[in-house]
Amino acid sequence: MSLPGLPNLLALVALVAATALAPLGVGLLLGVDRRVTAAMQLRAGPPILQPWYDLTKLATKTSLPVDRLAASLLVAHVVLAAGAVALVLAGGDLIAAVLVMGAARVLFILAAGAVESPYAQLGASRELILLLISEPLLLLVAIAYGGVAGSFSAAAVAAARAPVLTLPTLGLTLGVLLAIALRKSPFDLATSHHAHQELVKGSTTEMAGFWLALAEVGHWYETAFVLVLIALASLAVPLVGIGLVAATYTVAIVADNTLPRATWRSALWIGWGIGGTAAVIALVTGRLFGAGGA
Amino acid sequence: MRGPRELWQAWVRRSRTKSPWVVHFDCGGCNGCDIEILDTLMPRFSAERFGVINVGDPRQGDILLVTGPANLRNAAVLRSVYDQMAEPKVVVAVGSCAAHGGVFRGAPNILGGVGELVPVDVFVPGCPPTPERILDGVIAALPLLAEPRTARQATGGPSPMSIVMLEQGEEEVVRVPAS
Amino acid sequence: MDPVTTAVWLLLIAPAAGAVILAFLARVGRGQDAHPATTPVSLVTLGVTLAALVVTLTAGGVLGLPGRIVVGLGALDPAEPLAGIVWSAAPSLLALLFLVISVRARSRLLIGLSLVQVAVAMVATGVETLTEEVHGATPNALVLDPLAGLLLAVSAVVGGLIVLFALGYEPVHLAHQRIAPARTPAFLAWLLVFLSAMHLLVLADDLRILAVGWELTTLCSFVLIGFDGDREAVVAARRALAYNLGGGVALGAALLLAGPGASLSTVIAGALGGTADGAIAPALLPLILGGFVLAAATKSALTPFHPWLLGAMVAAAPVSALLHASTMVKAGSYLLLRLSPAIAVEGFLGPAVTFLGGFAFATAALLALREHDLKRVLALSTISSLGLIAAAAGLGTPAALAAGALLLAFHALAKALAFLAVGSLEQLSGTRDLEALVGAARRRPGVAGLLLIAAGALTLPPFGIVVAKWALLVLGASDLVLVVLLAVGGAAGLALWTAVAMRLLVRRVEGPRAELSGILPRSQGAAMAALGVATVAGLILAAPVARLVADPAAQVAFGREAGLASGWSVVLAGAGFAVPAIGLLILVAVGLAALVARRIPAVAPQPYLAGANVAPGASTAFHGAMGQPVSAAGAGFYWGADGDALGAGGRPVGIRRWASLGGWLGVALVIGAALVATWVVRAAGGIAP
Repeated sequence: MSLPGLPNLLALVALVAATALAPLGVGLLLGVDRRVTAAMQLRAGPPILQPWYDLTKLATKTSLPVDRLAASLLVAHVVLAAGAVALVLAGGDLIAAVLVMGAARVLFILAAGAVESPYAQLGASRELILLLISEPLLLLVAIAYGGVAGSFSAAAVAAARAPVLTLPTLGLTLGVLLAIALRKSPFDLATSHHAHQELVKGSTTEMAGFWLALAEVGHWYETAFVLVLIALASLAVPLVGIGLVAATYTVAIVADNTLPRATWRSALWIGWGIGGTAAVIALVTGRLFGAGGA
Repeated sequence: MRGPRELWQAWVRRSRTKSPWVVHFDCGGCNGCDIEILDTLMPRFSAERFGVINVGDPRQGDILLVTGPANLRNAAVLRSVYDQMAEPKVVVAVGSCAAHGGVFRGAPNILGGVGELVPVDVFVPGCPPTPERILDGVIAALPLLAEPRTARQATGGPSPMSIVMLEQGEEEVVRVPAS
Repeated sequence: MDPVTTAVWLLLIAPAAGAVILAFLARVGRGQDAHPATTPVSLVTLGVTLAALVVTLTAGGVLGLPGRIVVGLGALDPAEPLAGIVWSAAPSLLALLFLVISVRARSRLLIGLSLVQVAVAMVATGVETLTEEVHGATPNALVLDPLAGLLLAVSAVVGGLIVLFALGYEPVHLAHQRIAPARTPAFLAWLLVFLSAMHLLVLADDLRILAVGWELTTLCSFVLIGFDGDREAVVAARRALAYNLGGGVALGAALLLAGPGASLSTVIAGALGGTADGAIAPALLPLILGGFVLAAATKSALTPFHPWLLGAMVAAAPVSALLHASTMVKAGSYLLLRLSPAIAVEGFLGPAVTFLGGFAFATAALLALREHDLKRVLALSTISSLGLIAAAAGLGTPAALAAGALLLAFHALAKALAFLAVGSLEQLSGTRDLEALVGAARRRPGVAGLLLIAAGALTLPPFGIVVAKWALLVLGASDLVLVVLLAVGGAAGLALWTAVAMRLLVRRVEGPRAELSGILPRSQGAAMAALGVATVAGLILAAPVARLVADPAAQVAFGREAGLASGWSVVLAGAGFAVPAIGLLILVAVGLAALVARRIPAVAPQPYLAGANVAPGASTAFHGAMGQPVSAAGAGFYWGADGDALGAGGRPVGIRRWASLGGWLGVALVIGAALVATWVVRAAGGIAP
């Protein structure tokens, strides 16, 4: 390895900045999401900056006693989630990034499930089901990208020609993943902002103030991860990438609004049935028509 | 010209007033007020315009909306829910029962209004109050969330610092003058 | 004799000799307690074995080098006329022993299976004792190469630590079972015989010696599973025997087809089209390999054959650890890895094995999600990991072989640790039900923490097992079915261990919970600590281990031109900076978490119970409807379990049926592939396609 020259240093600074700013961008997007959702329900909706307000308020509330282990796990969770996003942004290996994000989510589940509250434990169990649904899909997406680009590095995938034939099914899988990352459906997870919740606040029941803000940041990183994966499909043409993100996001919002009573069990069959099938089709087409194909 | 510190503090104050998450606690009334609170959260009145989210967990709430009279049966529960909320927090007593016991006042198990148990910041009278009035009460409480608050005592009825939403008249929000 | 031969001899003889002395001690011991010489004899035996292992690996020239040396057995070498007859007769004699056991068990199934095995073994090897061929081209008796070295290390080190653990575990266990602890030496003797048998098996090149080692492990596992002698143990032992006799029949069939004088190297050479001396004609090779694959599949309990391993959970913790982590099931994995180059050549056989393994990987992990008996969780997770190794063997590339070898080594460490930790927890608390052990990691951070380390090593990056899985994802990316199975199985494994860790970490102050405050015997603590250190060291040492053992193993199997081909190198090359980045991330995460933990006071917060808490502290008691205190208790995640907290109820039978069906499909594919390949060879006039 050569010594880090100025360009490398600049790239590193840019990477750190992009990773630090990623959740802020997701926050803004969630603000828009809440406005769009409100419009679909014939409401005005909160200000677009609402997620930022919420986060600031949470972070500056006075602290309540917190379980030491859960708090440390939460910190580690955010570090790993941010690291997974940074890995992709740096053009690193997609499978590595997916594995790191999986580890991050495990830490969150442990943080949620390791406290006394039965609500939190049940919430953690349901988070675990979401992990079970989304982890294989994420891996399949990474492998499908690898098949298209002939390499698993995010840089190679971003540089690869837009896989037109793979896009629709890959987008479907990523849409399912996005819907899972947003945590709005299924409703019995209780971590959403929707009024119809079960289990008090599910996995975040025992988190308050700063620690809830931390959980929120981790959650935003998780969303950012899926969004970056979507954008990877055509980063060569930036506007198309943004369009794909917007289109997938819109589909996810519509799906969320049309399936308000989706339970974790239906999520399992929707996720594996639709998302999994689409991912397999994407794998096949990507291999047949992508740069990695023989 | 304000420095970054001032800007940050202004941002924090703004965030705190624009993100009121409410915890709804029914102390044991007739549920009329509770129905009205749910109405307030529905799209017609759309409390989410003001950043209101109904959370089921007092640890995550900023505003405690209490309905019904204070009574022996769940006095400890109300107190516990209040104690589990993190500062800055405010209490909005919704309806006549929460204000002073309402039609239940004088019954052997009734202590009076919820002010007997927790320090109430805003009284929203009415039996039941309309959703608009409940929303007004919540909004009237927002400035109280902007600054750090010190511990407060339950004073029974309205205290010098309480806000009382009048039932009628032009001036809807009236601060009770110091006696 | 040169030092290597001496050391190999010691590896074979020392555990067996120790076992003989221990058996003697068990006989002469008086009173209730184990004979006082038990501990010194065991420790000396283990010490000698370990020393022999070190000499074998260092002087044998197999560390870091694609070395392959033939070790003679001296007077016992099959090349010697008398010894040859003995070796040829041994499988038949063992089969006869199984027949005696079966007759005493009065099980028609067992008698039938052992009769078939006797017949096959007699025809396969018995006949050749009477023929002249045995004096002709005699195969090498033992061959020491990096793969065998790796298995020797796994067996001696992990197995040795398990024996060390058993020193402190078994007396307590026997007392709990109302058996005199004086039987402890007998138990240890069988463990040690197991190690000898395993060493013989992994060193064997001559198929007869392989068969002897193979059947000896079957015998030892039968005795050890049934050691406690109660009804449950006996039933489980017979079931294990039945499955392994079936596998033995498949192995015997392979021996029969391979004919006299065959060895593993001649089989592989024949498959690779080599014309080396004694290479087996290709005509029957697919069938021979199919037999080996089926035998290996039963031994490593791949999905349709997994019930015996689940039944074996009734045995004591050291037995489970030995069966699952270092010896018994690893014999199957070893054979598959050893034959990997040959399997890959034979048409559809490779993909069939990959499917069989991948399917076991996915379904066993899914099945494990519903269990809350920790040992069953571990058993199914073992089957899952063994499936992954089989899938690696089926891929049949140097890198996949190396990844499989790494997987085998790291899995042995982590799973032995997990089994021993569960055994200790069970001995402390009297239960291994996860729901009774809720919060064990808070109250007994030492023991339960070791279990958590094992869980992390099995699922989280950058532990070796995950990197090996990752390597297989990359290497098998062109096999769509495998990729899907790997993705699903990986996620299920992750969810499984998260669910277990979640329950162990719960802060529970009241409600039903097991007592965990006993004192752990020193040998248990020492063995687990050593395994824990080794497991964590595997994080850092994985790359050197890959370079020292896995790469050379692939080079030996696929020829020197295979190069630095370990799964590790493939991942490192493909992932670029991702691997060091993961290391950095973990360091930052752990450091920050530790910093935060230091700043947070160790008060237990009051849980949210809708405000109805009875006490102000961390109690989970709340006021019930009549004002009485009620204890709130959550439950873990048991997907598909009856009456689980999630209300899934579900139809677990459905999952089981699918698992079984898919497993049999895999077996059918293996048999079909072998038959098709044989037919193709026949059609092509006896030349491999």
